[in-house]
Amino acid sequence: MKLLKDSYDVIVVGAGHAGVEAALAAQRKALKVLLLSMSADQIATMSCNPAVGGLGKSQLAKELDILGGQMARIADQSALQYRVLNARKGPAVRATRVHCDRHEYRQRMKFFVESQEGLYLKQAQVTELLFEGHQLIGLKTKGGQPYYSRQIVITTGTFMNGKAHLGHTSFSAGRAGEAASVGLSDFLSSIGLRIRRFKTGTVPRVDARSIDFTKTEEQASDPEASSLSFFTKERRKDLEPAHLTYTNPRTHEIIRQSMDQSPLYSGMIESRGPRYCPSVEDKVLRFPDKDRHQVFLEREGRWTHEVYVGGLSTSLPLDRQEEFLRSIEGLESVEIIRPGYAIEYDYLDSTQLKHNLEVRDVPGLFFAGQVNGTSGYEEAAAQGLMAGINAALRAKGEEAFTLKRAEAYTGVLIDDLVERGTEEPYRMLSSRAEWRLLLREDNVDQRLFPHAKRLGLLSEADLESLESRLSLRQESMARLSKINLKASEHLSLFRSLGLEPPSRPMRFVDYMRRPEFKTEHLGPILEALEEGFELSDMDWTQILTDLKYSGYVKQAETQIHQMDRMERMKIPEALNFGEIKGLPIEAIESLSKNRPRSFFEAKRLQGLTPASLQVLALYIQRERKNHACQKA
Amino acid sequence: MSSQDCIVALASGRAVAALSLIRASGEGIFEIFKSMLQSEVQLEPNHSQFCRLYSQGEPIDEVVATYFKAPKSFTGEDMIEISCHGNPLIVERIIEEFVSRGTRIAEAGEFSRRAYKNNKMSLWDLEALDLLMSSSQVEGVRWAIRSKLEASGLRLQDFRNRLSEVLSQVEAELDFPEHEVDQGTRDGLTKAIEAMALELESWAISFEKSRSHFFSPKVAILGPPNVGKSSLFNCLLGQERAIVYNLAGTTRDLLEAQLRLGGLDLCLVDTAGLRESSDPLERLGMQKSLEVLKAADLVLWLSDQAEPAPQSYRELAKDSKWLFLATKSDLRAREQRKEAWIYISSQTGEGIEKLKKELLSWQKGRPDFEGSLHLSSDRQCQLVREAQSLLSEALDLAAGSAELEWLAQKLREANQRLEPLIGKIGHEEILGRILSRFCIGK
Repeated sequence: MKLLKDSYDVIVVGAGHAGVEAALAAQRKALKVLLLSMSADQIATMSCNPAVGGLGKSQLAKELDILGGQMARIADQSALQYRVLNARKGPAVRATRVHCDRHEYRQRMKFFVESQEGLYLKQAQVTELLFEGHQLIGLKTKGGQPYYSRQIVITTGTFMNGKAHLGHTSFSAGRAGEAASVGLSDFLSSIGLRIRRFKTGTVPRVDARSIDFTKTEEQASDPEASSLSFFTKERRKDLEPAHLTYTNPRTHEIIRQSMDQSPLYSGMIESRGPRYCPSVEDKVLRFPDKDRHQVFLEREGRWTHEVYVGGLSTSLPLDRQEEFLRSIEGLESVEIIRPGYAIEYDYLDSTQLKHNLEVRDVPGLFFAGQVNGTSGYEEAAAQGLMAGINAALRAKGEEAFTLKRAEAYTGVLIDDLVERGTEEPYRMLSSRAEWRLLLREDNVDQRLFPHAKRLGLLSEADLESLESRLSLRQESMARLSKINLKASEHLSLFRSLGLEPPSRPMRFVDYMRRPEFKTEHLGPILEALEEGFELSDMDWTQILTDLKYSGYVKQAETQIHQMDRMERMKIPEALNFGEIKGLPIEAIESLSKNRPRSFFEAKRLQGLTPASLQVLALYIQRERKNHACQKA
Repeated sequence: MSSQDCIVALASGRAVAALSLIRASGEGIFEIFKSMLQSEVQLEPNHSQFCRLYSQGEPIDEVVATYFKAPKSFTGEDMIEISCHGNPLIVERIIEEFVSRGTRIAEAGEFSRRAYKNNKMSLWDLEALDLLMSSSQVEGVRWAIRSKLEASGLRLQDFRNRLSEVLSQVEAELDFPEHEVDQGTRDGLTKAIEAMALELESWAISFEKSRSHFFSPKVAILGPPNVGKSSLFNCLLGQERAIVYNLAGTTRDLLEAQLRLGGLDLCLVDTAGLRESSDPLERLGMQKSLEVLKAADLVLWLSDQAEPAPQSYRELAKDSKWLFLATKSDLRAREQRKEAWIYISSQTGEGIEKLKKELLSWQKGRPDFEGSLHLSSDRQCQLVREAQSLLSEALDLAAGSAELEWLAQKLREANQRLEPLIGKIGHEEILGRILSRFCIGK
């Protein structure tokens, strides 16, 4: 290493949601970490919706929380409102969404990052990476300053060659009002990485004082919602409602007539945007039958009058935005503070990465967040955490850490990115998870505690509190399964709860499995049985869901176990693939060339069909048996 | 498409015939074939062309060749089909020419496998083809060609669309909480699932009713030794196939023959007589007889004393049809005849016509061609049955108080079962459908 003062164990480029998690994760592994941001003010900025969580996303945030990330804690600390989504559709698709004060979120995260020992925040723009031969050794800033490290994590979000569009005008920007990062993506292309282009958009922000909230529907914070972080002890009391209003035929008419001024429809923007997050222009054009669309009005913070106008992502010119906004009930005299805009940016084709988020062909170079083609703070943060952990593990010469699709949404996310890549900005959806019923919000601690313990990112105290909660739940479960119900007891109680009393003596846990049995029934019944438990609502949800889903869980676990066993199967190093009968030529070629060491690796090779893998598995198993016989 | 080596094989029968058909497939096969021609012959894709094949300047044969250019061919690769003169020696020489130019002789089923791999054929298609090639009954062939046409037909596509639609509706409701669903949509969903479950059941039922008609039913002639089994065998066939001798244990091995009776094609099996024996060879023969009994669709039980078959034998083929034949009727008195037995004599021919009539009238119903779609294998039928029961479970869940995520789970599992039949309905397709149908997103 060159100058000791400029060398670090890990360097993170970009301090958005991915960057801060990556830097904090590496710092928590007791390493010296440099975090570079183009602006030292913009730390974990919420560029779009001021909220954390939502479908599939709250699972990501909670997984990150258990593994030792920061996002969920800061979200709770800066919360303005809580909502529960899909409350009635089942525990696996139930989700928490926290609407945050975006300024407070940023300030708290900035202060937290600055307060960490061994974590250095510096303002600089990176333009190139430094190599010694093929070995990555550091990077250079626009000002020519080199910093040295063998592990670099790139988390540049939408900043690489960012170009914002508003009506017919476009300008270079990473976010409106902030400069784009020019040079880095050209450098990355020059070392052979595939870079592509996406677009996304955001909504106008308006002045709260110009809104007539009496004409809108108030949406209060949901008292049933749980905190996003398992470690949040006290919830904020000063929560605020959000407001809901609707577009109308007049709004749609104005938008339709302005279509020639939309960069999306005039051909100025050609790159692909997220279909699940359409601009209002898209909504009006593609769904002419709908005569209204929802508009959510969310305050951006306690110390600002800026309001986020959810549902109206647009890149029409400013005067058009003002006109259609003013056609909406409650917004008749609205004043825009910042207009909505579309943005195009460079991203990395994520199929060039390995499951530890390291570039296949450039050891030590990691990518995480929106630069990998994803969308959303939670998706970014989850990758940031994983990239930070893996950069740290690499610095320490330890094995990579990955999560499986069957154990976490984080695993689904990274596996999708690495295996399939994405044709539009990737948002997590519960339908992407084939083991959806296992990946619930309520059992995140149970799913990931063993990993959290091994990784050691959490403090001793946090690990202990997790462990004691898990064991309390286990003990409670053991006690519960000893409780028996008699046939003719508490009949009126059961009936008053709308439940069919047990017709024969049965274990309480078996009674709890009935579909009509819900968490709210537990309190009165346990009281009548004179049984007391010290469990939170979340714990009860988890216990009840585990009971009800046990049949499915058992079946799923058997399948997962079989898959695991197959994936872990080692492929003998000396194996001559050409000798295996029934293996197609292209499979033999691919196997001989890449020489995978395990089935997990073999599965990822080109030219290997499931049938070929089966043939290979049978051959190895038979060979192993033959060997065993010879030895005996 | 990944690179594939070139393969060649005889596609028609091996016997001497007027013409034989040779197929070759793979990248570069066209160049290989052209190197076997002497003059500059123009070969247009999808056109047949008369040409002469040479081996080192010496003519091999005059042939008609058709060139199929990838991907518009059976395998999806470049292909050549050659009609040559049907002498096996000529066929051999042409194939040798291909091999000497770096082509490999195809393994059994390799052309179809490549077609499958290159998405030219679905599994539905492949299994229909298998039945089409292997069925020994006209009914089976008629069934298989229907099934094969359906592989790319609208009805299968329609079913797939309906399933994809239902999956999308449920997933949309789960993944986009702002997407609100009214009771009408809910009822429509339930109706759609119900209709699919019923349809799957109808496919399975019509296949189950029909499959026994796809292959020749096995008719086993069984009974104690020396009751005239082989005599009956010969008598039905109208020729002396089996050795008949008036000594118990003459028939040691199985004898099989095709018997055509009217429109019915039967596989008739003569077996060794069943009795206690210490002769190891005879016992081996009896072992085989019992195996035939187990596999038989129809059992002709013969006894010259009209003695019923032992219960242990009846157990081995309790689902099969049994006919009881009292043999050597010419040697027995008429007065003592039992009900339910057919009295026959292979000598005088008595009762043989009656037996034939019985055989002709024995059919487990007609094949059910009326079903909307025609499955072509037991495996397919099993998958359809499983999917149907998963959809029924989904309906029960929809009717009860179970949460929507469970309904989604059952639908996903049903989708998995049907994947080999209708192709994969993956996440991207479902998401695409959701986003094109519903206005979603904030």
